[in-house]
Formats: sequence, C-alpha cells, structure tokens
Amino acid sequence: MVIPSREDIYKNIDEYNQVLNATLQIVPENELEHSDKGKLKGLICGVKDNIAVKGLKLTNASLILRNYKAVYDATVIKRLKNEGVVFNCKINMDEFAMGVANIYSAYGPVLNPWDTERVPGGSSGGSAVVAAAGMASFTLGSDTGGSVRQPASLCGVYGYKPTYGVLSRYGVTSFASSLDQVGLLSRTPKIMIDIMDVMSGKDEKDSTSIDSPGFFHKDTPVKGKKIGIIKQYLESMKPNVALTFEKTKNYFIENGAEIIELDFPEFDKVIPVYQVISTAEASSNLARFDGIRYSERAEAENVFETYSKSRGKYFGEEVKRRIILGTYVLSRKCFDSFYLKASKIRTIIYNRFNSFFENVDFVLTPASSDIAFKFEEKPDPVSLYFEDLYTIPANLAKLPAIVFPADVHHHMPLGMQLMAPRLKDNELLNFVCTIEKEFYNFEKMVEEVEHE
Amino acid sequence: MSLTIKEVSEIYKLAAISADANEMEKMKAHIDALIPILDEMEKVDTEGVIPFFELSESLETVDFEPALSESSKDIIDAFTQKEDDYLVVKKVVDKGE
Repeated sequence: MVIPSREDIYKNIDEYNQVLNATLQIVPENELEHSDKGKLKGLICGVKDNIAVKGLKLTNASLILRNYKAVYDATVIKRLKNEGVVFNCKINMDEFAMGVANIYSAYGPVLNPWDTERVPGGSSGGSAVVAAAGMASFTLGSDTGGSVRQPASLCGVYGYKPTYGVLSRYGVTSFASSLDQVGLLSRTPKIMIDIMDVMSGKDEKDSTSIDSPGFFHKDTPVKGKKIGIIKQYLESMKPNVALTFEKTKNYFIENGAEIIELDFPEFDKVIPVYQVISTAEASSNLARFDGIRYSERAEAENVFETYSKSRGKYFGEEVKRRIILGTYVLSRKCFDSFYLKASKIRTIIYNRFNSFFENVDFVLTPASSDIAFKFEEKPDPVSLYFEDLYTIPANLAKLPAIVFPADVHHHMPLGMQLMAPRLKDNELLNFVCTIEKEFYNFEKMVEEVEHE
Repeated sequence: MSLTIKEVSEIYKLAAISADANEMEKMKAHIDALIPILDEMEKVDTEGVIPFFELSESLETVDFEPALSESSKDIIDAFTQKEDDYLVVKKVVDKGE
C-alpha cells in the first residue's frame, strides 16, 4: 500500500525506527489522537524537528535546544490539524537544517532505509526516511537549498518545495529567511495536492506569505509540453545521473513533449551565491540562541561570556562553520565583495529563470549529484556544499520544484527534478502525477531496489 | 587571500562564540578553502544590477496593518504616565552605571 494505514505505520516504526534513527520523538499509538472529520482525516504526519507542534519537542537536532518544547503550533501545523491530520513524530535532521547528508545531528546520523551503510541526504533526511519507510502517511521538511528534494532523490520518495511564500514560515525555525520554505515528502504526489489545498495561503503572522495559487486535481498530459534542459548541467553529470536523465528525457520525447536546450552561464556561481546569502542570514537568525532566552546555558562570569560559552559549547561544528562564515561575509571588509555581490548575482539568476519560463513549461534537472554515498566515503565539508548544486537555483529564484523517483542504480534510488514558473505549483504537481502513472513511481522503485 | 588567526578570533568574537586555538585553526582552514570559491563571483558582471534583497522587498513583502486587540487598547488606556505617544516606565538600566 503506497499510503500506509495507521496500523502499518506503527508496525513500521517498531520495525525500522531504532535502526534508522529517523525520529527524535514518537507519539505512542495509544496517545495518538483520532480524527474523524476534516478533508484530510486519517492522514498521519511526521514533522521535521524545526517546525513547531505544540507540546512536542523542538530541538532542531541541536544540543542548544535539547530541552525545548514548542509552546504553539506553526501555521502549517494548525491548518493541517484543522482538517483532521494528526502528528505522530518529530523527525531527526541536520542541526538547524544545515547539511546535505544528515550526519550533523546532535542525536546521531539518520541511515538510508535502502542501505543502512549509506546516508539519506539532508537536511530533511529523516523526513525522507520516515516517508520512505512508511512511518507516517507523509512528512514535512524544510528546504533552504534542496533540503527536501535532495534526500527525496536519495530515498526514492517525492519531495516538493512550493513557490516561496505559498506556505507560511510562522513557527518554523529560521535558517535563511529569504530561502527557507516548508516542503512535503511522500510516497505519492497525489496527496500533496490535497495537503497543499489545506496548508497554503496568506498568513498574517508571516509577512512574506502570499495567496495560494490554488490546488486541485486535473489531467496534465505530457503531450505538447515544452521541457527545458540546461546545457551546462549536461556537461556536469556523473554517469548514473546522466543515464537516468537521458531515460527521463526520452520518456518525455516519446510522449509528445518538446525538449528545449537552455543556457545558464551562472550555473557555477550558484554555490558561492548560496553560501554567502544563506550563511549571512543564518548568522543573524541564530543570534537569538544565546543561553539567555530559550536555550541551554553554560556557566559564565558575565553576560557576554554567557552568550559565547553557551553558543561555543552547544552549537555543533557545521552550525558554527556557517555562523562564522556568515559573520565574516557581513563584516565591513567583505560586505561589498561578498554579500552585495552575491545578492546582485541572485537577481541575475532570478531573471534568468523567469526568462526560461517564457519559452518552456517546466525545466528538467538532476536532483542529486549521484546515488547516496556511504558514510565511510564522507567528503570534506566544503565538497559536501556542492551536493546541492542542482537544487539551489529553485530557492534563489523562489520557484516551485519537485523531485520524483526515476530510477535505481546499484540497488539505490535516484530521483530527477522538475522546476516550474513561480506560482505554477498546481500544474507541477499534476504533471508529476502523470509521470507517476505513466513512467515511474515509488512501487516500481521498490521492486527494482529489491530485484535489480 | 587567506585569513590570519587574529582575524578569525575577531570573527568568533563578533559571532559571540567561544573557541579554543585548535578549533580556530580548523575554522581558518575551512574559510581559507572557501574563499577561492566565493571569489569566483567576481567574474560575473553585475554593473547596474539591483541587489536581490531590494528587488525581493518590492515584489513580495506584504504590509499588514498592526491590529491591536481590545485588551491591548485597555492596557494602554489604563497606563498612568504618558508622554506624547510614549508610555513612561521605570528606568531599568542606567547608562551612567
């Protein structure tokens, strides 16, 4: 069954959770609410531990918030609750959503359900694992540079990041506010349409939120669609990715789509632009965790020492790397050459993608650099930043994007990504429903992982 | 360009994060490895381009009228000391101290 029943969900939790280390808090089955009304009644949701669910933990997988419990519901949670969704777990993640492999959680790494020697991707690696292993009907993650989509690719599920602003960020721990967006992960894109119908739309508690573009089911055939492919990406793909990309492209051609090549000369500037903007915003957003307001406090002689010792002791290594880089790029010496420059290139990238969509309906790209790597192969921190090469542009340009399972290599899933014009989220989700029906889907992926 | 340990130490101070010499050395190596990647941005001609934070603000930020609840109004009305639009409260921190 693609969407597991309540009984199966708890069976799967018993069987897999301890091995995969995917959750930080489980609501026991006998304490889980029953909801018999609302458009989404019967659905059980797992939530990344940077989204507030009243009464449950909100640690961000960090020691600095290890004893913190949410005192209110995030808007996305409130809207789901109103329509009958219940919440069964808080999910492990890279600390403060900073990472691409889920190896930076203070509570230990999350393991890939298809091969426990491999990473699940990150930072919403736990959310991808919970969805793939059927430990919830669907999960929520957050996506700042690909954190929902890249793990979806590595775990064989669907991972969707809406247009920036379509989902409220109220109650979501801020990492890089101009890039952050709540995302969905599930074994099928069909339920995403119903969930987005409920969850999307303007929220007076988040001034960057916007009206819902509307979500409903409709037939969206491949025939007649114009699919863009980026010239520079074709030259950069590793063999597994190139094979899957070709297979997916051929499916579109065979079904009557037109393929149009696009030129993205700034593609190799995506990583530096993202590093500068995201770390600058993170250094500011994480200043609130100072040992005084709502975080763990280290012993100290005075206030400044309390700040620095608490942050030095309880933040993890990757979070510190990003705060320090962010502080550096915002310093007087570097502001123009790094922060201002990055912000200007972001404008160029934003305009570049808008111009793409004057000629194409969707852009097809890889989602990850390869299948999931093994823990023992862990690259250095700087090399890891390049894992998000294909997913970052959607965040920089505030576009909707979805990763769908497309292939299996060496018994491991691999996804592909489709990006759409701003606010064309409904078209994108319905188009991926067509792909699920005609080309590839979660069940086919499972069969191939087991029998390839 | 590479950073000196003194500069790294200053950045730690600005970020309000304590660290020992070993951690600072490692951080210096990390930032030194990243700087050439960030320097790549120099190659893009951005003459006349508006920074995204300005573009974004004009495109997407929605202004909301701050709404005061009835109870908030009651609290403000009940305040004993006011000067123009400000509520007068007891001094907590004295700069001279």
